[in-house]
This record gives sequence, structure tokens and C-alpha cells, in this order.
Amino acid sequence: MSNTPTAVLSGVHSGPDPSPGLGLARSLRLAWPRLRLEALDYSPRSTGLSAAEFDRVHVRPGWHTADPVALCAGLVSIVESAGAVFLPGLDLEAALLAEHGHPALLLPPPAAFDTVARPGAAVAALLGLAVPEHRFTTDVEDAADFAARHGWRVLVKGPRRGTVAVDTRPALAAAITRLRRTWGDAEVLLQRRVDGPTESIVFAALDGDLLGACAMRPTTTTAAGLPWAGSLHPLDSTSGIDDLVRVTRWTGGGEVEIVRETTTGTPHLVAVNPRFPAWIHGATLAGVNLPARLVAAVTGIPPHSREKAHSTGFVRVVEEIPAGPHAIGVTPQARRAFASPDHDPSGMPALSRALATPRPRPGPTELEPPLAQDIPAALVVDPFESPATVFFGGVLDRGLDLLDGVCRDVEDATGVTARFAYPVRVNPDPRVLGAVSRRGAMVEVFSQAEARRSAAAGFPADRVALGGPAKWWRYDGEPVKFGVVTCDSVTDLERTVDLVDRGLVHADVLGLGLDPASRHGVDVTDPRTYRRVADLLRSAQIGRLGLRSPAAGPRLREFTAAITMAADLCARADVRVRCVDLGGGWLPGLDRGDLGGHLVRATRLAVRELGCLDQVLFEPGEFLVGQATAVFSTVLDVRDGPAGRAAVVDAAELPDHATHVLWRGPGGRWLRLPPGDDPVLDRLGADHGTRRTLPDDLDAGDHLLVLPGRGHRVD
Amino acid sequence: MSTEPSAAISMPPAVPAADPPWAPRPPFRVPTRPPAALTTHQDCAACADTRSWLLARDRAEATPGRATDATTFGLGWLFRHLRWGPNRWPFAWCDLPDATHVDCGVLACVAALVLAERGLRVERVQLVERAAAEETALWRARWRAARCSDDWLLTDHAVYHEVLLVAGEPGPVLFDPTELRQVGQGRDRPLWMRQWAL
Repeated sequence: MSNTPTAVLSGVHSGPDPSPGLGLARSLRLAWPRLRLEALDYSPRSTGLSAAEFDRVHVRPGWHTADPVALCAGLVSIVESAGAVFLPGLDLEAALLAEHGHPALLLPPPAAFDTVARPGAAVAALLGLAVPEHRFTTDVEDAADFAARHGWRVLVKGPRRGTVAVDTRPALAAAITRLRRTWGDAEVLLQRRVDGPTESIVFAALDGDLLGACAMRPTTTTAAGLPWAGSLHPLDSTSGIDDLVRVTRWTGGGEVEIVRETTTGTPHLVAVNPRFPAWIHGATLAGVNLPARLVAAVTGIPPHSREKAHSTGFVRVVEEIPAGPHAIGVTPQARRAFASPDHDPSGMPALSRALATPRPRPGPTELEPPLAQDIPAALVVDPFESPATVFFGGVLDRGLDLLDGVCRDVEDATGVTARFAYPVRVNPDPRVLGAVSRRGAMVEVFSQAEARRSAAAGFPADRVALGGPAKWWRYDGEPVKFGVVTCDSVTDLERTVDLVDRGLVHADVLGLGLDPASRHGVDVTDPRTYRRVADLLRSAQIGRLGLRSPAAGPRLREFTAAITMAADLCARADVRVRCVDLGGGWLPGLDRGDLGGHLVRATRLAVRELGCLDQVLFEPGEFLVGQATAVFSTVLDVRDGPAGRAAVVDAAELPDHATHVLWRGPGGRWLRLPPGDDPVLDRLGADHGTRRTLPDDLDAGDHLLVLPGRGHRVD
Repeated sequence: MSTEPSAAISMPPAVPAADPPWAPRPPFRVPTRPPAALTTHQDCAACADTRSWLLARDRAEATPGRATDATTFGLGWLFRHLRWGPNRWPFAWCDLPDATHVDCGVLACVAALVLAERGLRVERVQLVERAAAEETALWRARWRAARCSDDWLLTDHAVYHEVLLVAGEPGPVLFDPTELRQVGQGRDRPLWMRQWAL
């Protein structure tokens, strides 16, 4: 029996997102200087194949050119003929090979792959970690709903590979499309983005027995967030890794990625990788050679060199080495070789697409009852011409009913009167303003012109809240009255106080907008601004002071901070706050309990900091009218091309990323088009991000209703 | 602020043996003055506003994770408003909002006020730390360009510095608010140290 083992290592590419093969080779070479090492990868572009650490290299056909099962069988044959052990460096390859159950393949059992699959709730429970809020979906609308609930700070992940951080709706739609195209899975995983320092735990195990583990905290990361340098730490006994490997009967290397949320200190599971990480040699240099422990445990051959701690941390360097014979003559690659996962030399996207289950093309579905009733009510007869904007009065009435109920709920729970102010700019349609006015609600206006429009719609002056940076633009100097005037800068406050002092403006409540996160508010976290506002409040004769700070969704934390600062400020200036405006940004689709609960929490926070309040306001704009209008249009053309189908409609402009697209064929009824990748283009050919699965029998002359349709130039 | 030298005056052990024998060991004059203190002008609303802002800002930044953070004590927000550098003395609270730079004495005063308001037991600590000649040359030029006293640069290799001793679990922490980190370990071990009760 040889006293040095032979190892075959896959995934040896060394680029900005390296595979672990080269690090594994260096670690094993450190333990057995005369060890035989064979590298295996799926493209001659894999740079690690040229490394001097390897005695032999195998360049296998790409996953897109051959049957994955046959490729795996060939790999097993290579390992057997070399009398070697195999350490995987590629996740998806490892999952495929695990089915073989070959003792020379140092892989977790197939069931372990299911356990650690994203989002890894079972693993998190074993390790005592939290899992960030998440949702699996195939629908962009569903994804947008999740993202909006988490303040548009979310990650879009493929079920197996790929992660994209998004913070806008267009970025979300693009990320879903890209992940589908790259990795082949119809479903994506949405996860709340947890901000905080990251940490990784690497471990090795043999048949459920832990051979060792250590933790790494990155000290430098790449632009993509991958570690470039890190410090190594021993693992405390409570990390639960031993439970994880015992329960899953783990064999091979593994990595647990963790992020510790800055605001709460709670550790969250990011991912579990069924292989050693690319930084594995960093652990070896810190005196924990896990690849060697694993190979020694399997082969029974003790390492020739003892583990030695060279440092408590590692750094990466870039090094040029001579290209190997397989890399000579490789044709130049198109630009941005590292920018796309499709250029990954190990071909993981191609393998993922080969493994993905083909999804059936969904057909149109029936409308749910409220919408099915709203459409005939709104389209008693078809619009005189196409395109046209359609108004759903039923949707608006139900929204107003809900808001009335929410106001009562807040008042019952807090004892503070709650009212809402509809922002006119969201949809100034007289039918909307009339409906809001009849309910006795307020309107929020951002200009004198909007104020006049509101007056024409029947709003008395004390139900108009004036705000925004252009509130005094084209003000004619005549005395005016408002219910609330909110100032969003110190100069705005000075000017408004001056107008009030001169008797030109009467405001029941003079408000101060607090919003350090945007330009539409006074930043009292700045010490100079704090002092200026304190001086102004001391000198001005303010009857009733109000504060405005957006509190919707994830902004509750900023709201709390802003109100805390303002409470101290007002106490120092000896001014009492009577009214708090909780702002807008309330999501369409929130139910009465969700919206009311959030408003109650914000109101209680405000009362705790500011004392008794006369009133709280909130500004539901999109929430109220987001689904109350639609664009009625006619299909002009249906195009088939290599990238799929596309419909062109007669509207000059469509809503960006419409939430619903309804279709009606000649003489048929309205049906909902399911999510998909086929674009609906306006008559100028512009793509507004509205993608659906277009039915086979969609034809020119059919009608589409695109929701929501507010304020779009349809003609 | 009453600053009395505390009974326990700690002198760290000799320079670690890891240092090369040729490392410079010039003598320096042990500082005799108490730690820096910010002036509060009588009946000055600006001084009171600044202190009020400071405490409100800290309250607004409170997070559940801060209680366990013995590395930065959740004071990272200070550096959104303050930058380390030369300032003239005497320095009043009302000078703080407009100060482009503040030295370690101001930062120690500010951090001590905030941490004490949170209920933590804080003591002021004066240090003499070693520094490289290139560093002290740079700092001397910077302080002179700003027409500020550079008497904190005791020699080319030793500088005066102010930090805090914060009582916490499991034990007291020597915390440097200028660099938001713990000090006093390994090569950071000071050449001289004195505690003052706050």
C-alpha cells in the first residue's frame, strides 16, 4: 500500500469567484509533499489547470455538450482508475455525483443535499440560526409584493445557485429573468437582505463524525462580497456543526455562511455549501488542515507534515503562472469574461439548466370575484375609442371603506384621532377627488395649482394639507388657509413662518417634515440643523406644531430615530407637538389588519416620545388608487421570434411593470394572463417590463386591460 | 467635570520582548495635566443645544445589538459628524457643530458623556503611545499648518493620547473613541497610562 494518497479535485478555476480546487491542492500538498494530485474541470479556460500543484489534468467536455449522467460516470471511472479519492469543488456536480454513493467520492449523502437546500430552514434550526424572511415564487408581481414589504432590500436567488441583490422593481424583474435564463429554474427564492458582518464556518466530516471545523471572518471582500482576506477563529462548542454532520451523516467538506444582523445582533443563515470553500487554504495556513484530515481519515494514511499555524489570517494575491498546454491556443474570449455566470469555466449554469425540470406553459386564468365584477361595471360599453383609461369605481369605494375602518382601529387602539390625506399628485382624476371628498378625508397637495383643483373638487381649506418643496411656487400673495402646512427644509420653515407672521397664511397646524433619508425633510440628526431649528422654534409663534416622518414598512426604524431627535428638540424649544403625519408609501394589497397594525405601532412610538397627540395622519396614494385604473388597448401585432412571443398594443405608453394584464378575444370574456417572459410592447415598441405568458390564440384585434393605468399617455 | 487621579495608577509592564532591540526608546516627559475638558459657556443656548443634540442622537441610534458591542459601543455614528484632526483649545460645546476636526481629547469627552448617559461607568485614561517617526512628522506638520499646539507629540516616537476605561462584562475595557476599538493589547500596549475618575 502506498504511503501517499492520490486525490482528484474538480473545480480548479481561479478567478474573481474562484472554485476551491486550487486551495484544496495546496492544503493536501502541505500535508503530503509527494501526494499525487489530478485536476478535473470542464473547460480549458479553467485557470487552475495550469497550476504546478497538479500532476495531471483532465479537461472534460462541457455540461452542455454531453449527458450529465454520462459525464459523472466518466468521472467515477477516472477516480477508480487512479485509485484516488475525489473531493468536489462544484456544488451541482457534487449533488449529481452523490447519487453514485461511491466510497471514493467524498460527498454528503443525497438526503443531506435536500436538507441544506435553500433556504435551509432545517439546518438553521440545528445551528440555532435564524432564516431571513423568504418566499418562493414564479410571479414577478408576487416577488414585488414581497420586496415592497421588506423595503425593497431583498435578494433574488435561484433555488440552487445564483444570488442578485435588488432594490427597485425594474431590477427585480431583470434579476428574475436573468436567473431563469442562466440557471433554468422557473421558481426563484426571494429573501430579505440582512445587513451586517458575515462569517463562515468550514468543517470536514466522515460518515457523520466531525473531523474539525473553524470560523472565518472576512477582513476584505471583493465587489461581489466574496472574501479576499480573512481572519480565522476557533469554533465555540455551541455552534451545532457536530449536530448537523451527525444528523445528515455528512461526508466531505462543507461551509456554513452566516450574517449577523447589525441592528439586532441576530445571526442568520445565508447558505450551506456541500463542499469546501474557496478560502479553505486560509484555514490550513492557520493550522487547521481540514482537507488533509478528511483524506487521512478515509485512506488511513497519516499526513507527512503536521498542521502548523503560520498566521491567524490569510490574504489573497494575484499571481501570473505559465499557461499549461491545454490553455495554449484557447481562442480569445468575448469581453467581460468574468461578468456573467455563463462564462464560468466549470459550466455550472449549463448543468443547472440540464437538471431543471421543464415547466409547462401556463394558460390564462379566470378572474377572481371582485375584479370580475368591477370590469363589467366599468366597461358597461367599450370605450368610444382604443386606447383609453378605464376607472374602476368599485375598487376605489372598497379602498375608502378599508381606510375608514383602519382609522377607527387606530383610534380604538391608541386613543389618538386618525385621518388620512389622499395625495392629489398620485391621480388627480376628479372622480377620485370627489369620492375622497365625500368621505370627509383630507387631501395632500404639493402646489397652489393642486390646492385650487382640490377646492374645485369640494375640499374645504381645513381639509387640505400643503407640503412639498414647491408649495409657494406661483403663490399670488393673497391670504390663504390650509389645514396643515408642512415645511421640508429650514429655509422653507423660515419662509412659511414669515408668511404666517404677516397674516398671509393661516394654518391650523404648522408641520416640520423630518426625513434624513431624502431631500424632502429636515435632517435634525445634523447638529447645525438641529441648532437652527431649535432657534427658529424658540423665536416663532407657532400655535400647533406637527411633525411629518414616513413610517411605512421598513422605515419605522428611521421614523423612531427622527421622532426621538425631534422630541428632544421640541422639549428644548418648549414647543408641544400636536399632530404627527406618518407619510405615504403604504403598499397596495395590505389588508386592514396589516395597515392598522403598522399605524398603531407608529402612533404608539410617537406618543411615547412626544406625549399626548391630537391627531395622526397618513397618506395612502397608490394604496387607494393603485388598482383603480387600467389602460384599455387593442393588440396590433403578435410577433414570434427566437426569443419568444411579443404583443404590440395601440397605447402610446404602458404602465411600467404592470401588476395585471387581462385579455379578451373576440366575443370572449376577460381572462388573466399568467406570469411569463413574453413582453407586451406599446405602439412605439417600448418595453415597460410587463411580461406575461401570451396565449397561443392571442391575435391582432384582441383587447388587453393593463392595470394599474394611472396617469399614462395612452393616446 | 471633576477629574481626579484615581487611586489605581496602572503602569504597564515593560515593552514586549518581541520588539527589536534597536527599536528607539527615547525618554519623554510624563504628562502632568488632567484630561481635556470641554468648556460650557454660562447661559449659552448653543452649548446646551449641542449637548442635547448629542444625547438625542445617541438615543435615536439605539439598537438591541448595541448593548453587546464592546468593540465600538455603537458610537460609529459620531464619525458621520466628527473627524479626527487638530482643533484649538479651549474648546466649548458650542464649537462642536462647526468644528471641521476634533482631537482625541474632544472625542474622549464626547464619548464619555454619551456612554455615561447610557448608564455605563466610564473613567478617563491618559496614555503615552509609541508611534513611528514618519507618523509624528506628518502629524506635527498637520497640527502646525492648522496653527494648533502640537505638544501632544512628546517625542518623535511617543505621543500623548486620551481614551476611556469602560466598565463592562466580563471586565473593564480600554476603549479608544478616536479609532472605535479596544486598545492596550499586544503592540498597542502603551508606554505610560493614568486613570482619572469621571
